[in-house]
Amino acid sequence: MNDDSGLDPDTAERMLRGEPTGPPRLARLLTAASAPPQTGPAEGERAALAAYRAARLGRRARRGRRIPALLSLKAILIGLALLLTGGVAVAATAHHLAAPPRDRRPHRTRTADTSTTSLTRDTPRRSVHPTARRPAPRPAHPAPPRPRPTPHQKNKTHPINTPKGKAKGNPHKGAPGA
Amino acid sequence: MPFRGKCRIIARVSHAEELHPPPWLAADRTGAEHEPDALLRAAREGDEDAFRTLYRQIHPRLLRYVRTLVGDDAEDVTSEAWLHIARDIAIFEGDINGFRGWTATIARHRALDHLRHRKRRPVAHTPVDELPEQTAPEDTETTALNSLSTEAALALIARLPHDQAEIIILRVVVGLDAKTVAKIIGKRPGAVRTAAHRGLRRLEHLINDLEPPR
Repeated sequence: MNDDSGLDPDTAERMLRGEPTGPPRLARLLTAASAPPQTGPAEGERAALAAYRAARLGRRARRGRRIPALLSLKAILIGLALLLTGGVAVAATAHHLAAPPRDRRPHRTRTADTSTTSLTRDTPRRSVHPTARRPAPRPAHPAPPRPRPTPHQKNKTHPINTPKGKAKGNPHKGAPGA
Repeated sequence: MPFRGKCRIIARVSHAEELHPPPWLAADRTGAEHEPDALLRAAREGDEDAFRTLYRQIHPRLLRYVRTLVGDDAEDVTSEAWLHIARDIAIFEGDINGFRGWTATIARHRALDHLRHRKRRPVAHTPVDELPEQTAPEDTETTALNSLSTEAALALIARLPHDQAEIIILRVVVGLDAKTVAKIIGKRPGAVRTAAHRGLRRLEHLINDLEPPR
């Protein structure tokens, strides 16, 4: 009955924090409730430790597994990239290759545009090519006619065109021209 | 990672309110290497001994808390909670106060799951009539309440309205501050304080009813 008077909010708060204040019997009850355990290791300790160990091993295994996983992910990405770029390349070449009737005309017009000038220059040579210079002029030819239409393609055009391009290209172009 | 955010909140909250660890945690310490935060860090990094020490410090109190929620199934429920704690301690972020709040949150979730599963209300595990008699035989000169056992004290607290009992256990037994408790049970800190004070007053009346003061 007298104890009631001691339990103002501040005292209550301090009791809740574990301070030994307030009504003695209530304080004793709270002390008893929060007393340290008298028993030894609890039954669940072994299970908890086993779970702890398993989790640690699991994490390690996962960390170990993550590297090959990343590698395989990389492999997949690289594969995809190759497929896509390969596909683009195929598509690009396919466009060029598959549309000779449509696409080559503009090409030709383009080449013609440039070659109109070049034709005027080429024609005298071509008129000469088919007739006499087929075997002999190979080394001399690539330099003068090629650089004009596509200067940046030089590198590519050289190896391809030196053997075939002139041998084939010259008679084709040369034939109508001539 | 559902707990990470919550843990951070709890850790921050407990920092704000009271920085000192609860007295029982300090009392359990035996040496300098048992600095609670260092212990927690070691346990997070895979030190099994550190985890065991934390378990021995926290488990008995967690068990008492769970007992107020689920009664006799408390051992099983608390063990389940520890499996969860053991699994996720490495990814826990926060200090020791935050950690104790986190363990209580996990234990509470397990307890509520258990109750939902069993579809029954929380029960007090000890008959209230036996409370004063649960004393050690050698206490002949002291009154029953002077030598009140932990079990009897908890049973007495369990006679309070459920929310008051839970709050008092979390604050006094688990050693959490009002804001952390508020986070755990999903109430405002002011409401938690009010409920706790009301619970203490009611508890006092219960004691006086059991053994009227002379």
